[in-house]
Amino acid sequence: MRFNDVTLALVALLFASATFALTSVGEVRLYVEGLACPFCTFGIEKSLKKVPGVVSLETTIRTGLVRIQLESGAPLDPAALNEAVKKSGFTPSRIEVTVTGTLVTSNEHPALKSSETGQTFRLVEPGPEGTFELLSAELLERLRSASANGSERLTVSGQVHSHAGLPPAVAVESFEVAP
Amino acid sequence: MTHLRGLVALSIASVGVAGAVQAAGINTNVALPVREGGYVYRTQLRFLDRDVDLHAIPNVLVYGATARTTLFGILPYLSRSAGFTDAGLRQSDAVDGFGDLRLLVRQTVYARDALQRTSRLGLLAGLEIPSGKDEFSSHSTDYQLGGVYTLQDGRHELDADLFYKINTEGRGLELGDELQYNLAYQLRVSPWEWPERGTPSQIYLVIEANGKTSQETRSGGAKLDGTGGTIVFLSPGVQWVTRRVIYEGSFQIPVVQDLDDGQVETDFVAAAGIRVQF
Repeated sequence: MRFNDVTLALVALLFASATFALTSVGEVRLYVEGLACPFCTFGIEKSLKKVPGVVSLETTIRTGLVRIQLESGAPLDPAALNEAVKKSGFTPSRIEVTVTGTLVTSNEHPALKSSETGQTFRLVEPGPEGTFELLSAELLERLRSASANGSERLTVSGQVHSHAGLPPAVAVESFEVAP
Repeated sequence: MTHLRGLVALSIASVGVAGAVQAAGINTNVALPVREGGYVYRTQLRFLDRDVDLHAIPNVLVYGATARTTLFGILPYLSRSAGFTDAGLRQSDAVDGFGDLRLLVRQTVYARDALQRTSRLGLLAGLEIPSGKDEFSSHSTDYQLGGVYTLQDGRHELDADLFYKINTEGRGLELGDELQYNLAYQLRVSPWEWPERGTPSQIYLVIEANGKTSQETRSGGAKLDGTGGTIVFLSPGVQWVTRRVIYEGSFQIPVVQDLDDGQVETDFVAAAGIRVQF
């Protein structure tokens, strides 16, 4: 009996660890313009729930912020989220994410690659008036240094956007070494 | 004569029936979107206090074909009863059944969104099919064109619509064309300030002006007495808006009844209803 209990506990622990490890993208923060009543938030949430990987949502009408939790290990598809908002008749403003992964180079661009899902995020910098710029040499050096040249995982937060045919890009607003 | 009386009653009731398309104002149309693939069902119980009592239950099904194109099907269920004296004897006349089916399409032609704010303009076109019970049917295919505008800005909302309905001849009777005009202002009173997180249910106070001007009915090319005119309601109301369901009540008081002689006047219209989306 004791053996079974220990076995079950170990299995549960292993499962919990695996679940935690698979979560490479934390909470997704999607900002929507045009929201002014609860009846409208229902429509947006129904559309977003159809996006693969979305498991839960919470909308704050005051800020137009939809907090999205993705399924463990599910890749982030910013274009699909934006499209879902448009299909509900409203205007997506921006998407912010927190991503954990390894610093790599993708098509000669610095990027963050999730070892769990394999999804790659190009790294860029926030520019003036909502634009994006290539990663500066200074910020790249700081990222390399913090990650010990790619041997340590980094957690990066910032606005994400996508271009057709390219991996999504994260504008690095903050970063830290992943625990 | 009974048929005409039913049509007149339906015509008056349709101030609200048309307004029931998908309103933020309770009797006024709205230009807010229905998500692609989404449905909204709306029904009301409308009671008209007149010499001829009329209960109308407009059933409205709304479908979001795309984010900018919305389809509406409206099927009113009506019940009319009247007491009258004939040859010194008190008589009563009661009938109920479905009215004509109305199909509409709304196309959003302008939309501008910002934080806590949206401004939208839609154009509507549709037709009414003579599918209803004899007493409640115009027996003609009629056409409707119009526009609707909505501005939501924080706790304030303004809706306005304008419709022109072209009535054609059916069974020798041609109802006059109709112009409908509605204006609604809503004030969110609860919560007065939105919370820092989440989306609570909301209560709105509503004040509307709902009007309709009708041309005279014609029969065999001749105008019929006791038809046509203008009626305008001032309509206070209240709405409880949740994420999935809207509960609402409105009390319409006629402030203008410039009706051709011989028409029964409306004392008031009371309406209570719900909207559910799925």
